[in-house]
Amino acid sequence: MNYELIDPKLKTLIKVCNQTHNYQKLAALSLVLVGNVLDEIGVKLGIRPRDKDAHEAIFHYMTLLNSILYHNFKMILFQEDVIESIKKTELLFSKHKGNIPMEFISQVYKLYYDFRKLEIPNLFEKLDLEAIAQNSEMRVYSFLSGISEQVKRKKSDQKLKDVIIHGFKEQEIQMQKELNEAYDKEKFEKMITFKNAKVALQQHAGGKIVLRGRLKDNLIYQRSIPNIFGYLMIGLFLLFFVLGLAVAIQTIYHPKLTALISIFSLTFFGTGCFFIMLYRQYFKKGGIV
Amino acid sequence: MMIANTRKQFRILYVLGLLLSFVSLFLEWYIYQVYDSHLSLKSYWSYNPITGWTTVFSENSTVNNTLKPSTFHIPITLTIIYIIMLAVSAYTVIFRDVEQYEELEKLTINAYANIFLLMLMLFYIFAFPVFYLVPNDLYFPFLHVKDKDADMVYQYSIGPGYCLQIFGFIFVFPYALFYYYTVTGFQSQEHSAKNAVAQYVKDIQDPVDMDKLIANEQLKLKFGDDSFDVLEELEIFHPQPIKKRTGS
Repeated sequence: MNYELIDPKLKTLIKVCNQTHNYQKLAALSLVLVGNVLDEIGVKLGIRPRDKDAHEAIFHYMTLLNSILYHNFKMILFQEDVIESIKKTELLFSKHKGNIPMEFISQVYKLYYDFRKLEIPNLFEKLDLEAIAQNSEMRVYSFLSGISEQVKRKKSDQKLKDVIIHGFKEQEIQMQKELNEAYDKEKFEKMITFKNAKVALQQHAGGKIVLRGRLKDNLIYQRSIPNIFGYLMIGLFLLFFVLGLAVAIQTIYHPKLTALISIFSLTFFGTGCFFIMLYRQYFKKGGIV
Repeated sequence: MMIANTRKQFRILYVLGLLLSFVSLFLEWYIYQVYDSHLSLKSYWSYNPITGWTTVFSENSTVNNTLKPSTFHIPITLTIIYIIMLAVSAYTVIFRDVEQYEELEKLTINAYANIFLLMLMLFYIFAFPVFYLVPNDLYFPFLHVKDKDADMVYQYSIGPGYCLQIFGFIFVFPYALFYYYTVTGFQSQEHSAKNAVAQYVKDIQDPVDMDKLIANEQLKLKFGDDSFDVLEELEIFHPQPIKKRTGS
């Protein structure tokens, strides 16, 4: 949503509605805008949007968001008084068919701007990258994975895993405390990473820590690196093909030289074919190209 | 660690390739020599894309001048563009490293510039023999011809400049393609995810036409007529009794 476009228009509308004393419109609009912002927050967190067909109240939806976040991260996004304020406004709006006191309307607008300030990390982007990682059958392992495997060989990896999980948990609790004091996007992202790592460690039998999301760049590079050698093969093929072509064209100009320079044609085209076969054999599978 | 080193090595190779390509422009791309039956050098001409044909003999040497190959010129504009592209590409790889840069979208032009440079290199490698040498009876890549009637030996061969150009292409190609695919590949992933979420959010949100709302209020203010009111279009203007939560 382009807030830069909406804000001046909203300002104009409030002015005009003040003149026409159409506070009902302002009240309705405030709830619509708040609902929209909450939908955006919900979707970014990977939670379903508000069920408008079933006339799900905004404050119910806020409670839902809170409960999901608390369940997953022990974090409260909307304080109780905020939900209460929205609840009162919604109930009054419903009861009096839009005719609600001005103080309620201004309170909702204030909350609308507060909600907009919440920078929610877009989990869908992370999900998308997870899909890439899964499709390419690749994982980024931290150095801990190597240690963990060795420990597994010694049949004592569980202890190490417990230590790592404990470490993550401690950091997660610290984050939760900080987040409950004041919401911060970066801290929230960090907490998601900790949680993902913890879950991965608990779930993967190999004891490997699957780090996703924040290392997205590395994932892409990891995918690309093996192909550099493939690109080299393609480059060599192109080069020898072009040289072979140049020699072949020469034979059109000077047919008497055909026998003489056929060795060059053979060498160039042959080498070109060798490199393309090498590429197909060893580099094409799972590559970007 | 090994992967990071590989990346670094190819990057160094790329810079080396650019350097070789640049140096090649000042070296001999083609050498034409004529010897007599005693293998004494009678004529020597070498070609460079910037200076054209040059010789080690003095300008007064009649035999050398007589045996001079046909004159041709690779357009100097092309050479200037090539040098500029080499500089741009060097700047790109040294200062706009694809691994360090966070906003990869901004590297798209650089990635395309690298691909353009590759095409220029390939054009030079292909066009030089096909469009300039062969039509002027200069054989490619090497030829040793004995003319028994004239008692002369003619030697045609590509020079170190052209060879460096070939090596430059080999060195530049892998990292240029890696750079391009990394920039475009990552960008498209990010954009598709962003666009998909933005589109979904847009679809599920209540549509609010602020212009229409303002216009209706202004009409009401001017004419006292509220028949244009669009309030009814918004679902929220049909308040329903708030349902009790039945769980998520």
